[in-house]
Amino acid sequence: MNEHEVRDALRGAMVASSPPPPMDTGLAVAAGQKAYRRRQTTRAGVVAGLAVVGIAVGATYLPSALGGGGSTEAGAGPNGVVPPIQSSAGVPPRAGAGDKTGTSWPDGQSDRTATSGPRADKSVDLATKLAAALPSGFAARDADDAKVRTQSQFVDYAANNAQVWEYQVITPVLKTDGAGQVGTLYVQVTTAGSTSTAEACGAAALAWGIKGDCAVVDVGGKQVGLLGSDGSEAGSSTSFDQLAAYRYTDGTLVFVGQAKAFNGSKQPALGELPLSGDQLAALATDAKFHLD
Amino acid sequence: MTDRDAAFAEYFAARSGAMRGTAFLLCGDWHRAEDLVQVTFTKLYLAWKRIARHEVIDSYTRQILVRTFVSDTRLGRYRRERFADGSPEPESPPVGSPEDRMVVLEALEHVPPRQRAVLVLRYWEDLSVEETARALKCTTGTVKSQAARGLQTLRGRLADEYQERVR
Repeated sequence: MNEHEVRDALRGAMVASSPPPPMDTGLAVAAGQKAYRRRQTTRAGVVAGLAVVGIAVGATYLPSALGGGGSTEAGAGPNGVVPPIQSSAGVPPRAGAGDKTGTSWPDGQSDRTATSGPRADKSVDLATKLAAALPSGFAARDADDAKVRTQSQFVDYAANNAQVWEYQVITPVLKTDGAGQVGTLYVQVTTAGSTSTAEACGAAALAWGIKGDCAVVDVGGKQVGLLGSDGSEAGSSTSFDQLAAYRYTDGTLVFVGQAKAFNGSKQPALGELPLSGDQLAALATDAKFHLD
Repeated sequence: MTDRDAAFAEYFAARSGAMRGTAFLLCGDWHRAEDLVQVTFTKLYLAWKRIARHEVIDSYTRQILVRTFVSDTRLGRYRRERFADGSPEPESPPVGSPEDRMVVLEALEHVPPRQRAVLVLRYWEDLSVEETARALKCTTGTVKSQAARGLQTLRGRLADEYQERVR
């Protein structure tokens, strides 16, 4: 592999990848402003600390330097020595501590993903609920090179400082007749507080670079975006053949997707999608996928 | 919104996508790439007033990005995480599929962070040796040697099938 081949390989990798929707500019500006305010506060603390130390030193040594010393300064001990400052308010913070710009992960996590605890359990529980939604004749379970995957990840803090989380499940779907064909069923739930305001087809269009025709389906008065794609449109991702998106009034956003094949699996694809379009849309509005 | 915020927002909207692509190649995960870009742009925001020569913002931003990546990797961040624990590594998927990217990205994963940064800057960002050296705060000789070692590691990691394909 030479330099040109590396260049081609990297470009090919990027073209084939499915980038998530563009990042939110407003959030980036807000994060910058927050870091700026934090730095200003830190600097003010350092200045205040130095001022306190300066005053204390001046109060101790200046009178004697000027030839005085006959009187004891207020706050000084019986021998004219200023006692050490007990309050931590004026102590300069550790260098660099105030300049930390990384996200503050919740609940003691070291990064975005929760790998254990109640948050992680929710995506596992979500997998069970998703499997239960399949019609008879289909089952959701591991199949050789196709594995059930779950993930719980922190997204951001909402305006009221509540936590916004994202729960994902992607599961192989097999026909129970033993034909060995494997498809995909997927659900992603972003909890209330997300800054995205897109609904129905607007939300579906944001998902994973999947391009195709989208229709708004009414499910008991709820508007669901139902996006169908055969992956033939230029630049379209082939992750899902069909995707339903529904936004609750509280901002909770549910994506449910399905595909005849399972990405990365060598096993044959299903001959048909596990769910009809209407079933998929109804699943997106199912209350059991409304998580917090 | 102040003029500073408006200019910053405009720059973020224009360039965050490209920076995120670079970050993705560095850390191999879109979520971590977004975290890396967010941290990078936050640092950029703090330095925004100082950057008088705005024609160099791109190189400055890229410099923050790769240095943050290398630094954070030393601290144990940006390790690729896998969904399934304990499952065996699947065989390389067929070439020509979207999973090709996994072959390249997984091979990149085995390249040490600093060498990976050199490869991405040189062959994804198309930076010169000198520009790469400035971004990583090292000498041009170091860039050349790190690029050679990185390529050697990639060669060793890529499946024979894939190498045949790219030849």
